[in-house]
Formats: sequence, structure tokens, C-alpha cells
Amino acid sequence: MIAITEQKPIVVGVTARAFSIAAIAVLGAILFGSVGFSNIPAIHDATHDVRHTLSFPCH
Amino acid sequence: MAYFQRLFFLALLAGVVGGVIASTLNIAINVPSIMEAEAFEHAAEHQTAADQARHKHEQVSVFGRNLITLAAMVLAFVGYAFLVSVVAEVSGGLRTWGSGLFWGMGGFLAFNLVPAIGLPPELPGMPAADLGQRQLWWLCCACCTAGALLLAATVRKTAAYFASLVLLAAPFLYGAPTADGVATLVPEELQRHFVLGTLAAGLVAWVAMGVTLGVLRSGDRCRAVLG
Repeated sequence: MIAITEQKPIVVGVTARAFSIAAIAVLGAILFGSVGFSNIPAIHDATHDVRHTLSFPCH
Repeated sequence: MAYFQRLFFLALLAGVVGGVIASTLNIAINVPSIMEAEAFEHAAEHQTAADQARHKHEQVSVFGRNLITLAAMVLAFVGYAFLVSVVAEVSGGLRTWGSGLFWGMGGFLAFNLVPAIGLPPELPGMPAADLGQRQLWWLCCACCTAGALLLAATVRKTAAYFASLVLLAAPFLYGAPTADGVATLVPEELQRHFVLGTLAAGLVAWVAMGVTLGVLRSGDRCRAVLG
């Protein structure tokens, strides 16, 4: 049987933490912006029903 | 790297849960309303189209359309989960399923309900103001609401509550862009059904995503310690 031992917290430097948070923020903003706001026709068509149902302005 | 990976994959997983739930509910309840409204939109175009050759009917299978909606919805909720995780890391919080519930409801308020009070969820073929102006108002309203909720929840002083109220009210005092009374063939009953249906689906998906994120982030194993 495998015993599950308590895992230790991750030790992370201030710079690494700031970089990680900034990178996730940029990724989140890109995803949110492209699904909700991009005017590129192909992206608009693909996200059409998503924008309407998530109450983003669409047309 | 372990810290980045943990932030990334926990948010990814929670986003997938939220996105799958949101698309399942919306495809079952609300996408049929969109398709019904598109029929009215096409009818209106036929009435006004002088040159029928310019009026195109795109043929996409319902299955293909819903598959793309599922993918885009998952991407949207992964994006939401990333943004929520970032704010939670900076402000400190979202470590239990209970706090995940509140973060989920907060996200629903900021990204869904409050902007929808000014700009109700639209059906195709409904009159609307300039797209750029509406997008700008929507974004400002979402940011103001998120800021107001965060301020009230973290500072907890009378001045902070007052500032939150001002932030919440600001986009509405400025006013959402409105359309100049153009007639629509889309029935009012369908619009009402759509608005209630999308908001209900949004609430369920946001809460599911928040709780999942809270459960995943709970416990020692995902707590970062500054070294």
C-alpha cells in the first residue's frame, strides 16, 4: 500500500513568484480578450454562441 | 517552476470544469433560443435585402457549431480561472472550497450579472448601439465591479465600503450605450427566457469553477512560501 505523506509547501523566491503571477495574468488576459473581444472574423464566428450566452457584446 | 506549474494546472483544471458545465447548460437551454432568433434575423434580412444574391446562408452542422462552442467556452473559463488565480495570489485567499464559492459568486457578479444589468445578454437580430462603445463600457463595468468587491472584501472599513459603492455605481451613472429604438422581429418572451437562462447557467458554471479552484488550492501542498 502506498502511504500518502503530507507534501511540503513550495519554497519560491520573490522574483520567481512575481514572474509566475505576471505570466498567468498575461495568459488569462489573452484568452479572455480573444474569446470575448476579438474582432477577427474567424474568431468572432467561432466564439459567437459563447459571447451571446456569457453576455459579452457581440454584433 | 513548480510554483508556476501549480498555478497554471490548477487554474486549467478548474477552467475546464467551469467551461464544460457552462457549455453543456448553454447548449441545452440557450443556444436553441439563439438559433430561433437567427431565424427572425434572417426573415428581417429577406424583407430588406434588395439583392438576394448578396444574402448568404452559411451551412454549418449543429454538432460542429456546438463543438466549437464547447472549445471556446472552455478557453473562456480557463481565462477566467487564470485571472481569478492571479487576483487571489496577490490579495491572498481562495484556499478552501467555501472561499472558492464566494470567489465564484464574485466572478459571476463582475463578469456576468452586473455588466448584464446595463447591457442585457443579446439575441441575434436585436437592436444595439455601436459595438466598440458597448465593449468598452462592458470592460469598464466588469473592472469597476471586480475592484469594488475586492476593496469591500479585503479592507472592511466604512470608507472602503463607500468607495466600493461609488465604483459600483460609476458605470451606471455614466450610462450604458443604448440603441436608438430600431424595431426587431425577435419576440420579447424569447428575450426574457434567454436573459434568465444565460444568467442562471453563468451562475452555476462560475460557482462550480470557484469551488473547484478552492478545493484544488486548499491544503499545504499548494501553498507557496517565500524563500
